[in-house]
Amino acid sequence: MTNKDWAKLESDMPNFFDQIPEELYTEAQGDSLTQAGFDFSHAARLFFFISPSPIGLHEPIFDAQQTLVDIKLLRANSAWYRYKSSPLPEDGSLASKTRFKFEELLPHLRKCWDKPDRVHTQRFDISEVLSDPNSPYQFPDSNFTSGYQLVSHWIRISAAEDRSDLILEFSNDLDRAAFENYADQGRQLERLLTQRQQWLGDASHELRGPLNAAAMSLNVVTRREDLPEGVPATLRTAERYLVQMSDLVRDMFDTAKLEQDAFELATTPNIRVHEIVEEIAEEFAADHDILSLRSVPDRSITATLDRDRIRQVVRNLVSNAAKYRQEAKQATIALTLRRAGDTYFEIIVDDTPNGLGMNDTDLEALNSEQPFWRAEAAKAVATGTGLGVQLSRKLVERSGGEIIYESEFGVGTTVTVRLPYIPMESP
Amino acid sequence: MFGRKKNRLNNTPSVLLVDDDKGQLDVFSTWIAAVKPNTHIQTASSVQEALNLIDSQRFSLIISDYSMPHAGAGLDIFRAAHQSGVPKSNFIMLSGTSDALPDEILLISKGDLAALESAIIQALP
Repeated sequence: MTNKDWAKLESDMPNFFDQIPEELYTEAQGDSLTQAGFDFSHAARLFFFISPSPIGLHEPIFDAQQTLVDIKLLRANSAWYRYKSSPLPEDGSLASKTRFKFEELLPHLRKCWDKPDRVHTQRFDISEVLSDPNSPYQFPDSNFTSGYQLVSHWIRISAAEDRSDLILEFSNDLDRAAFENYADQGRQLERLLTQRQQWLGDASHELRGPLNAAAMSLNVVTRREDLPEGVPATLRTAERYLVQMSDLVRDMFDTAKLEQDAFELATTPNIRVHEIVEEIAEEFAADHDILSLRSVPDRSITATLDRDRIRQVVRNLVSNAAKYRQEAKQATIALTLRRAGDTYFEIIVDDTPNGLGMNDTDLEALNSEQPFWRAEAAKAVATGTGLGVQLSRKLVERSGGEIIYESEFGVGTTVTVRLPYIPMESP
Repeated sequence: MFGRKKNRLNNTPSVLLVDDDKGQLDVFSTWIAAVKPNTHIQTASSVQEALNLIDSQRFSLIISDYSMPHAGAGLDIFRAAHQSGVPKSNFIMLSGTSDALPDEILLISKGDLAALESAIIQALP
């Protein structure tokens, strides 16, 4: 069997079967192979043949004389092996790695090529095959159209009396289709991700521009001292909501970026962490929802971090503490910055005892990292998206730290952001 | 040529605002005038216009959008500003996204008016 033959077999399968005498064919829909004379009890069954086999994608290897010397497994169909509960073979040479000894197989292959004893063809409509939820044809990456015909040719080669017969299975190009489809989908996915990234960036930019202009316009007016009573407060509320919306747009963009690992932190050394804490404390000082905001910063802590991002995290936590408080109560928030050993420091936001708090189920859901998750009790109290919490977690983790939530329903939540003074270099 | 003109109107700080949206640029000017009165404000709505202005005048502060309309256009303006002698601390980049920029560039998120105001006050004492 030469390269040319194999190429022909691979590229022009019907021609290969055309060479098999007509009388060898039995074709039956629904007939079992046994009924058609294929006795598996005395046969070694070989699925693994050239590429169209649904259990793997194979490639013939030829020597300089164009003689077949090996078959290489390019990719096994893991769905098939799961279906058959057998371990997935490693890709590579079948001569050395498989349950078949290639040298023993080779004469049979040649014999098959020349004169197989019998060929049994089965045809299935792919939709029928796919209706079995466990079917190995349920490639996660395939998109067979419902009219696709699955055609299998079974070839029996009689062996000498003391040896088992060989049964070879050739199926049409399902696997090749899936394989190419897979590579194609990979490229397509990559393109889509890039497009999505671009789109999110553009959308974020386009949305924040007008929001910023609107906030600036309001801000110009709120600066005036001749406004009627009540107007400045209303305008400031409008301004605050615009800024909140703008932040939301940024959070959505950042979350998407973090999910794609396309996010870079802009870390700077020697950041005086207490400044971040004090800035946030100052920012929320005039918040009417907060009864008291106690800030206890250790002024000696300096660290290498992304200042804006950590400020964003602390702002998010304090904002949540202010928002999610018990009915008819104002928030009491303690904001602490302290050392935690030689490597870490902690920023702690504690909204007990007037906080809403979370039960164990909430805490579990919170830690499961679902974007847009919000506790039921929280939904009843204030608007939000839940993005901030997950984004904060990701930002802190990306900075080499962790966020720890301790909470008691009806009492409040203590959130500890533990960060390293100097994060490890990412590999 | 007769050499570059580097004007500085007596002691009034001069600010260049760059954004490709003219409407937003107007609002921006009005806002800066409210935040920092007695400032000479000029605007440019394209990269080229900004580069021409930077080439012919000396600015105390330049605030530029990062994406105009393509991400990164603001970097050209930053380089030109730096070459024309504007200190790095007197260049502010505004961005609607979270782009990773060189550390030396002061990046302020679009919409963070408090941060922008304090950066302006710091740059123009």
